Amino acid sequence: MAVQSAPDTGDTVWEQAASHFRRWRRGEVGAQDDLVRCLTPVLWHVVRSYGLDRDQAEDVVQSTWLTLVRRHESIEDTQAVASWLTTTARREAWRVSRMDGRATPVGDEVIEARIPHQQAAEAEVVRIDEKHRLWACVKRLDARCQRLLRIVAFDDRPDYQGIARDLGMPVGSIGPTRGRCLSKLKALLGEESGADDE
Amino acid sequence: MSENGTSLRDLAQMWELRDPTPEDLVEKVLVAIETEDLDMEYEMLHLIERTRELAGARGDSQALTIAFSGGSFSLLLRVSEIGTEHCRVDGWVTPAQSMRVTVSQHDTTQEAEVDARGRFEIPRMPTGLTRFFLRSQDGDPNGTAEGMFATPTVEL
Repeated sequence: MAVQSAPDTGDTVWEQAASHFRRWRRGEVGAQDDLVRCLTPVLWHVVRSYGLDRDQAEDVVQSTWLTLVRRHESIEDTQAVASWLTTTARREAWRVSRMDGRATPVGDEVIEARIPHQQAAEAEVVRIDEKHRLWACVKRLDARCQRLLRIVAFDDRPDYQGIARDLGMPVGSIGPTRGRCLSKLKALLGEESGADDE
Repeated sequence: MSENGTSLRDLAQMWELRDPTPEDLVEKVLVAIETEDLDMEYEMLHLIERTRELAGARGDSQALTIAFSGGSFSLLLRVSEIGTEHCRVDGWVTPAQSMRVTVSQHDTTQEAEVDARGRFEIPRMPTGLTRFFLRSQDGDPNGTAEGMFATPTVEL
């Protein structure tokens, strides 16, 4: 499934979600499906960053949506529906990861197996190769950086307070930590391309 | 890769390539929403394990075992293939108790009784995305969470 990217209108996923949610509230047919299609990939990546296995992550994504269906009337600001969903998903993922005690960062072996092996167009090969190199660097970051970057990569308006609690950090240090993680990643990418030139 | 190579957009694309959203997750969510009974408060069971093994006299068919749990309640399903489009489901609940089980799929439901030993069977049902709803027979009929459990959508 492709990540929902902003279409020609320039709307972010967050804005698209808010508009689908308002249409749903007005009772428009298909609006609920549009909202689910738009935000399910975002919820998947947020939940997976908590180290849940794929089955557990699917569970959490499903129960997050069911919670929305039951409680959507309590959301006063329709613009905030995406934040409401990611916060609900994060809380549940955190709870499950603590309860289960077997949550681990996503391992290489799982991930390598999911790379498509079919023949791809040259542009596609280049694109995949770039992402391989990026991944090679990301996995050298510590677990906290990996989780933080994955959350902010998918969550347009991250709830720093909640994330700080989950990561056991003061809320004021999330912004600087995010910056440090990105700089570290850039440095690693620099090393990689330097090594390629030799 | 772009000059800095570290835009959040690049990272998002990388994760979607490395650990993609499951193809059928949107469909599972839609089935979960469609089959949810908003008048009842079911306790959500969590999928604990899903394993496939060879079965049948010649080992030529597959049996799927799915375990769910929620608090002190658990549900075990054993799903045996009948051809490619149907299956048989044997279920066990713990602690053993008389219950009514409703099997919901896209546009059909089936019901069965869980006997006092905690066992039930669905002799034949279509494969596909499915949810199981269980209600204790001795429980409050007015729909409290006591003795009412629902699974997430699973692929049978």
